Amino acid sequence: MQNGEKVIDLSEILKGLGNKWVVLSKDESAVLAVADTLEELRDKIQEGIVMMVPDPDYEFVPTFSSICG
Amino acid sequence: MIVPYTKIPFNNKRGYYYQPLLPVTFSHKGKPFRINALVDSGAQTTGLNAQIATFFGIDYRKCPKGQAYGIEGAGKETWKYELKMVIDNLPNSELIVPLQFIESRSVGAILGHGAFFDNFILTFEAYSLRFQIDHKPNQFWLSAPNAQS
Repeated sequence: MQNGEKVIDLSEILKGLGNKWVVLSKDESAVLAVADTLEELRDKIQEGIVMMVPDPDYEFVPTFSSICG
Repeated sequence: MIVPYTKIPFNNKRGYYYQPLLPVTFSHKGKPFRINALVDSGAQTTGLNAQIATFFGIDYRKCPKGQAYGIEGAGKETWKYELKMVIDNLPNSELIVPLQFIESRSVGAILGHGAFFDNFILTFEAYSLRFQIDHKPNQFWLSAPNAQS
């Protein structure tokens, strides 16, 4: 993670990877692996930081609320 | 701790937007899983993609069931669990987070209300493309004014 004022710019390295699981390098400067499922990334997960890339065609409004039951 | 926003590709005119993502590490039976999680002040609870449960070897479908709904209002089945979580680069941030696993093609990890928002001060400064996360004041500090009166 970068601490400070500068944004973490993933806009180029994540292009074309919407809805994919990715493993980013620890400094978040590169994509180490891409897959449709986490299972496919199993051997790479511990090498970096995982992220599910948002779909670039839709606004992401996830607001996640639960119904107790 | 100041955390910069993350610039994400998007098919709009400028080609991107910003999200408040926080690198956190969930762990289960000593096995870590580090993920960029979305800090969502509108979320009532913390949600994790069910594939993460499978990664940990958790048979989530045997967990107590819940239901979640989002903007579309339709209920979606979830499974309740608790995991240990640490915020990367924030000392003494380990906590047990009650969460819900959800089978989703769009949600990786969402940090919502409940244990996460209850234990930290979160200040969004979107105009500066950053947010701040810090430990909440401890109980002694909160009760000090009353103790002196």
